[in-house]
Amino acid sequence: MFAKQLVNLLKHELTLEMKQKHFISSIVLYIVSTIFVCSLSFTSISETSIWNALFWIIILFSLTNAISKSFLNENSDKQLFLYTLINPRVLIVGKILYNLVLSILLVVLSFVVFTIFIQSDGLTDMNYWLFFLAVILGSTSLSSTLTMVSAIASKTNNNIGILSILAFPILIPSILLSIEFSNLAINGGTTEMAGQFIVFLSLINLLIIILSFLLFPYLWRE
Amino acid sequence: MKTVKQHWWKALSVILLVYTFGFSFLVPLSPSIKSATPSSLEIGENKVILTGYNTGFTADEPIHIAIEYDKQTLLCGTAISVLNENQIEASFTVPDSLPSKVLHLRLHTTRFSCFSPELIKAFSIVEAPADDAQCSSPPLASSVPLDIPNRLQLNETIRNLMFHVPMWFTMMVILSISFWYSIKYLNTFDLRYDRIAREAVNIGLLFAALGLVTGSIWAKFTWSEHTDLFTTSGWWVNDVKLNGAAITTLIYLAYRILRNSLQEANQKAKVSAVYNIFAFVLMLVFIMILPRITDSLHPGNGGNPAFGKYDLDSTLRKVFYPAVVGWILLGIWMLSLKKRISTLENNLEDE
Repeated sequence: MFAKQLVNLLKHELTLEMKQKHFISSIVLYIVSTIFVCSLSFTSISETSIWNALFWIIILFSLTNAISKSFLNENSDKQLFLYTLINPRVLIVGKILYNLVLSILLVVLSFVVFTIFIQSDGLTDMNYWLFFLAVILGSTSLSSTLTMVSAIASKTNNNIGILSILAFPILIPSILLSIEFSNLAINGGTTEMAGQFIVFLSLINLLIIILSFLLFPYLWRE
Repeated sequence: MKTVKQHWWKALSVILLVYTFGFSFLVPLSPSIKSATPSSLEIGENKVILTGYNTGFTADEPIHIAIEYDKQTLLCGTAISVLNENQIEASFTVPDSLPSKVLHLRLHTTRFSCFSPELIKAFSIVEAPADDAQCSSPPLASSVPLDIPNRLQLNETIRNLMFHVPMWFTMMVILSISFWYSIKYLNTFDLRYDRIAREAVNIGLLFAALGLVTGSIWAKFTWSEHTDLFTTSGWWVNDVKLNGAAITTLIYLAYRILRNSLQEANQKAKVSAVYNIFAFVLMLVFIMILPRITDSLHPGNGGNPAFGKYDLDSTLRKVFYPAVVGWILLGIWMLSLKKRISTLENNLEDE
């Protein structure tokens, strides 16, 4: 029952996304233009830690923008009707999964564009697989936190402003861990060295998903 | 009798806080040597001026100075003359077989004895332990007067321990109460619990602000080189515990903004309870995980000695623990008053 509802919800979300192509293209354009503006300010960053921090800041703002609309549609009556047909827990898990896939696509795109436009000399000994793992784990906690908080923020009128105020302070732990983790990957660290980052980030991700799963129904009955 | 049973903890809080304030502001700092000029010794005879704090030297009292390394007396001060109540001059004769180390200084008089670690450096050619020098020592003081430990760098700011640290303990207790009542609200949907959660956040923010202010002043005068009051540098350092404090403050300010941007009372209560639970758990994770992967300037982190080692000696313990209990009880007292006020306000609105 749960799985069937989940699959239907994901299909529904995907159809909606395909119908509103302007939304996804606006986010892509947002990312590309942000990176381009950054590349005009610094074409080459010699310090890899600054390169890395800039990358994560761009990801943070892009994902905040992308996910802020998660619960925007729910105000229309039709959406409300569709969503009342399913279990609220399915709804939050579905939204988190959907946003996770979307975020990973956006983050990979940002990485490609970012490395093209902004060079750094120190990137030669980068451990790409570990960096990719850091990006996946980091964007999982970003997207799941942002999904849950955007559900909270959607209850107010000022959606994106409130979303940033509410989400940024609680995102700082995962952002800091992700930045440290990807710094390690850039400096050519191995998986054994990154053990504690992998454990802590996975634990945070698990915790965020469990909390969302437990708390969302209270929000939804509203 | 019923009043006593209900309110004894408020009286306890007042007594503990009066004790804390009295002890922290009235008890003098123990005498200690703060600096030596010149601070490095050379082979041969060295005349060194030692500057102390609260020492109150008098010309006719016997003073004994020893320079130690690794609990071994290496040199004894001779020809000691008192310059004024906080300064003495002593001469040390350095043999050519003294280890090139940062040495400790121990000073005895009949009134007090003090130990200043890592105060003076010595350089010599041969790296060998010197003969264990035995200095004649005056009889030790029979009763040690009540005083607050005098540490290098901390100086008088050590008194802040009774105010800065309990602020964070109290804040965490009050915010845990808020967390608990948010859970209770989501189980019962009783607006009384929501009011307690809200007021607890307000009180918690007050203690966070006090903790930030006391911490900022402390950081300025111990960690920073810019002790001039009218410069902006030194009030804030990038430290994991400060980041934790800043994040906590931001989360609960956001909580207040979230509440203010919602209109209907039940919706306000439900949405903010959800955010309170979500944010509190993640904040706890932050406070537990981050210090494990980064260093901190605070005691007990990054190679700094923890409270237990020597920062918190038995004299300070006698005040620190009562101070913590006193401040926490005060926070709970404030919360109970705010709860009554908000209940009364709510009743007025209903009429």
